[in-house]
Amino acid sequence: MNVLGPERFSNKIVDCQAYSFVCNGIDFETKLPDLIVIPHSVEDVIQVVRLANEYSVPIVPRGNGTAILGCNVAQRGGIMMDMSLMNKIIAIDRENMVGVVEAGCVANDFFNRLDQQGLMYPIRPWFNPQMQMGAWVACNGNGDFASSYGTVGETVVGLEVVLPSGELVRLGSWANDKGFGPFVRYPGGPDLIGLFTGSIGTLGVITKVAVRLLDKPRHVIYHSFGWPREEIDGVSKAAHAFLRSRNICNFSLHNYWSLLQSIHLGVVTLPKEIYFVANIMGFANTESELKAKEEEIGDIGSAYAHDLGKDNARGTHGPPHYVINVGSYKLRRSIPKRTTSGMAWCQFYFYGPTLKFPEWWRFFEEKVSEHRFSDEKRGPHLFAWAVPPQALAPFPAFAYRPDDQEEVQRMKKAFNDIFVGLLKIGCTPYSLGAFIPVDQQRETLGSSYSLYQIVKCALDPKGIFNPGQI
Amino acid sequence: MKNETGMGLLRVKRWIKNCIGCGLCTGPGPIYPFREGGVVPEEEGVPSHKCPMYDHYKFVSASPRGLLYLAATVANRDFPLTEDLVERAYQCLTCGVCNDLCYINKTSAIHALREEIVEHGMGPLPANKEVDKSIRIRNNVFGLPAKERFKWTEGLNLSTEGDFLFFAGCYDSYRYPQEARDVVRIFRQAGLKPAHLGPKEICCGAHAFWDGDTELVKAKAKALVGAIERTGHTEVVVTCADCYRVLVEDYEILLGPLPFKVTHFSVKIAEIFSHGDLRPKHEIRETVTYHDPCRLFNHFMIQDEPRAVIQSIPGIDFVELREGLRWSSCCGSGGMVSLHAFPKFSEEVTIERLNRAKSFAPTLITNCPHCFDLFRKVSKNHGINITIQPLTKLVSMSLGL
Repeated sequence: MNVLGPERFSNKIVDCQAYSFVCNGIDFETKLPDLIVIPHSVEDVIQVVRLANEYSVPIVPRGNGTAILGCNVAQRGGIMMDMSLMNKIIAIDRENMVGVVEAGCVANDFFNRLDQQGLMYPIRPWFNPQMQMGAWVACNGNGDFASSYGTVGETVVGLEVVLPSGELVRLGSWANDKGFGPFVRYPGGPDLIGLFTGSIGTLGVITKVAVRLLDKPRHVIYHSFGWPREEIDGVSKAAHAFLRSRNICNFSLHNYWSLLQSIHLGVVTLPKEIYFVANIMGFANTESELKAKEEEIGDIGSAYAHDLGKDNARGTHGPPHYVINVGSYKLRRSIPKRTTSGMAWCQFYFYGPTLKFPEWWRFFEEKVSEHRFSDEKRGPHLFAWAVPPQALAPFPAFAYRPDDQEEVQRMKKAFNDIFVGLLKIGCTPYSLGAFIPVDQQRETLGSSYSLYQIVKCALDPKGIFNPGQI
Repeated sequence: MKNETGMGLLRVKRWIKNCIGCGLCTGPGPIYPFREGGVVPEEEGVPSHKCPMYDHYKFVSASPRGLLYLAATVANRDFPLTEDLVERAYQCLTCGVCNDLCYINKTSAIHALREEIVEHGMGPLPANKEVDKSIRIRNNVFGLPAKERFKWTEGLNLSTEGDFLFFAGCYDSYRYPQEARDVVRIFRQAGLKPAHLGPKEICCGAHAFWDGDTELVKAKAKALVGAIERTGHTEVVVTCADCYRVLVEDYEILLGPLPFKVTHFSVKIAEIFSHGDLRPKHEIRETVTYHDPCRLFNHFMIQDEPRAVIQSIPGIDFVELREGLRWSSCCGSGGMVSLHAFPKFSEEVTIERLNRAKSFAPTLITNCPHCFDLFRKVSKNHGINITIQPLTKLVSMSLGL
């Protein structure tokens, strides 16, 4: 580790312990790495990877550490590579509408810079703007506007990756050193970028990311629609119709419990009978486009839902404040009653088809109730994005008391039971990770699991990259 | 959020697990995400720095979320209190920037961790133990004879009777007696009669509070509050931001409601100026900038009054140092704990702050003797060309004192 200098690595137990943290709460036990390494540059990364390869030492790249399914845990010890110092914004290319950043670039920082130049990145993270771009690509995340632009992986135009052999590769048109840089994803041949999006660091270390950019829209449309609990079928039909229309950029779905804090703060007001709420957003650049889209959104919504007007959607998704509904952040300077009461959240991420929403949501609710985490004072939270072509990406959660050991044990059991149950009924994981049992991964991924294994063995024959995840 | 003391991690065990480790307290960028068209409000700005400890050490363990996670594992999972963990726990400057970024009171949790460390006999760190020894035996942080504390009052005819009590604190009493004398003259010029405890004034124990020695700070608190109570004064004015914090917030937790209120000098003077009882009259043609002491600004949001005082001085050209109107950073003292335990780290924070200030104005106004002392020493030792001036001196010059 002398290649990095003494201040850039540590094997102290206190440092290793801090890197075993998983965002889903301390009640999930995780493993410690043996060594923390903080590279400054691609050359540092290459040197560390080559050393790790030479000595067959596991290596786990890590961003901000906020993935919740355990994909950033050093399951078999080894080196944890913290990418935080590689955080530069390298280029904002207006000509090609591409932004190039180092892997450790914080999304929030990147977006702020883009905003200052009248640009935007197509996806906006809802829960954690401190996530790093490389990690976000490696987990293939999503967020606001995914309804139009897909997942993060779909916005990637180029990648720079250090392979387990220590070889540095660039993918997309970027691969051509004498070319025009990253301007298109497919330079001929298979989609090699797709190998690394969602790979959670098992196939290589992403060191740079090139992503598509958009102009900031001139107009933003907000509209909310709602449904009583018993009209759950209307929710999925509306989601289906909105995704088909392609005139919206965001369909985010909440239930009453996830909006409770916003209701307390007066940001959202709901009629008593409404339980599900969809917040729709659209972009327009001309007045006529604005009018047409507003009309279409209104028409589609009215066909399947109760119209709740524009204010709720603007309140939860509009500027300037960022209201968190599932307990992650709080409106500045307000202390949420729920969290000061000492509750913590157990959170899930997965995908399910829009038209099957009633089926998997009822399953989730029933299971939460069966494990006794639901009563008249606390219900399971629902927050989901609609993702094309026809999927919902929900992040449901239930609250538990972290200082009650019995409840913690019950929570762990519930997490496993519910997650595995969701996968068994046909939902798919949002990303892989140590918290998903390997058997379940195999079953869910089917034949693609074998293909993943083949690719993994080809690229990482010693199995040193983020071992234990798949 | 009110601080509580005693019991180490037991008092925070319940809520420290609520930190989800999002990293907002450390990562660059706006403090919350903006949305389309929703640029961060101008008055908030974008901090280029958040946690000085993380900026320096770069490991997650040296960050608010890292320390909270470690504290949570100690409290909930019997993770051992190792020497390395103890070291990390004392590296935090407790400046409170992180508290302003999310609702979880991280400085309170880190303080609880330090209390836990002391209870287990693993702290405070040796350098801090020396300071605590001085407080215990000599009633001041410097280990100097107690009788020298009130030497600065000679010739001022101060007594325990007056309109309010002026608590000079260790730094002004021992190191900057001229500042203490200026304070008395300023208030007298305004027609007020400041009182002083004389030999009964002792160290407030702020350093002992922040290094986790609750027993010591409680003992000093009892003695000091008792002495103040016997004078019958209902207002105590302080110049030191550390004294202010510990008297306003921590004493009340340790002892219950206090029989007096505590006012910072800059707030008192701003009030006097605004009533027109006293006006700065002499012009001072200088370009100045102002450093917010973290214990005043991050902990209590005292920002307007010092600025009002500076800007009321004729001739002054005031340049804002803060990023936007929102983000300040610690001088490096860290309640004197980091200053003594990690002098290199502390010095680097100070140098960074000075270099930043220098790019704004040739003179830096301070509002706490800790900040003044540290800035003055470090700028001199490192040849950083900037004049450091306490607010008390600026005011007294402008009043022609």
